[in-house]
Amino acid sequence: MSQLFRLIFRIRNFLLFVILELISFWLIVKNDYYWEVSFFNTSNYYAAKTLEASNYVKSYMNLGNVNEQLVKENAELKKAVTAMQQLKGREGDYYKVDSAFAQRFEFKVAKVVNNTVNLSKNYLTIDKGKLDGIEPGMGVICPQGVVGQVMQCSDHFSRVYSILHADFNVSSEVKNKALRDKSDKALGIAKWGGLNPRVIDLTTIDRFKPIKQGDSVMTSEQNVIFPSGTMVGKIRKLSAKQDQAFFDIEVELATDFQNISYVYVVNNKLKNEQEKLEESTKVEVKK
Amino acid sequence: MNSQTVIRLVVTFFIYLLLQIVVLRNFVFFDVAFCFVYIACILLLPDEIPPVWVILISFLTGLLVDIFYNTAGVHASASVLVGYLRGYIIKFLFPTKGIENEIVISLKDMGAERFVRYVAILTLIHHSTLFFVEAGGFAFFLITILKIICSVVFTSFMIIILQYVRGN
Repeated sequence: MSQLFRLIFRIRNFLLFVILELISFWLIVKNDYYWEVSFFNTSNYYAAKTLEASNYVKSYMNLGNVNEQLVKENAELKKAVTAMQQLKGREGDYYKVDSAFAQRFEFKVAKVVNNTVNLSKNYLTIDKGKLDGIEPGMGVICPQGVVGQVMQCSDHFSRVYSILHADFNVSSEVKNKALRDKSDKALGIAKWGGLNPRVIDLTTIDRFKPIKQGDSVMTSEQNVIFPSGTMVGKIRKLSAKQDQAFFDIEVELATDFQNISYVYVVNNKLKNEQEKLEESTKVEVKK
Repeated sequence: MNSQTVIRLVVTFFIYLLLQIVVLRNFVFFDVAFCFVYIACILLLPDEIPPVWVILISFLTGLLVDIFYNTAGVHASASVLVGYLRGYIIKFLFPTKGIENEIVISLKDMGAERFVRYVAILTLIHHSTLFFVEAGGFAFFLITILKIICSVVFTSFMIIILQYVRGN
């Protein structure tokens, strides 16, 4: 027995090392797979408060940028209002939008208090949480385009998956005149390649679709998280190899993740209903 | 070790951590060169501190940085590895230690060449672990290698510069 103790004493450094490494990897794995609120991230109250203080100073220096963003957004809103007024005048369409469906999105403004862009899995922290009605799974956008999805919430803060995250997909589509004239669609999946925070890859678009450099990429109508038509970016480079069915497309992100300061959290009020319906029919098919 | 040395160590520890969390977090060159200067907290601990404490301090440092980087466990695992290997690296680089005199880990006392070698080896170990764990395996192999090389240069450079600043 005393020999055993002596052995343990002799390799105590190694044992401590192994135990601490195990704890670290347990934290990593737990953090990756579960959406439960854990202590070791910036939705921790004290860490978030510290970062908030350091961001308070930074937000003053950013005022010019913020103003510019607000002006741009105002212009966008004005455009949208005009579009709505135009739509009202048209009578006798086959398809009428149900008002409950048209008004299914709610927006809440939040401020970004922490943000990374250079890791292979990036997250943002925003200063709104459970008490402000934020829930995991809601989409996050900013005036320029898509940002990500809420991952977990504490009372006052939430942690958001950035779309600059190796495991995050956005259902998107390419919009241009040629496609609209043929009433065709080019649906694809946008996914980040892991290095450049200004570029995202767009995959699974048929290489015979008439798309070209400079076309806009927006979220598709099949997307439940984001309102359809939210900007993702503009096509920067596209190529197709002879033996491949799909284009390789590089999209320049509309969102400037390095200077992001205010975001909108999107709540789709009909999301639960839609998912419940889809879920229930799935079960019936199985039978 | 008297209480004055301990206080100086604690103050240095927090200065390096604050520098990392507040300032250097925002410095990333060309999306590949990162600076994790906080590992100086571990590298510059005096040699007479027992290894058990070095490992525990490394773990604590890593966890604190993790909280601010939103990467639970990633920095902690890399730091613990460095804390554990530190003693062996010192023994390997300075085999005459204990015969001639005690080793004082600083640029002034070790001389530039030995200090740079010491910092570069441990930084390389730390960054390799960090970036591969962070990428979750070898999926982004080439990018990760590039990040490691650039960041090792950047971090080592920063640690050495800060030594000169402290010396004066």
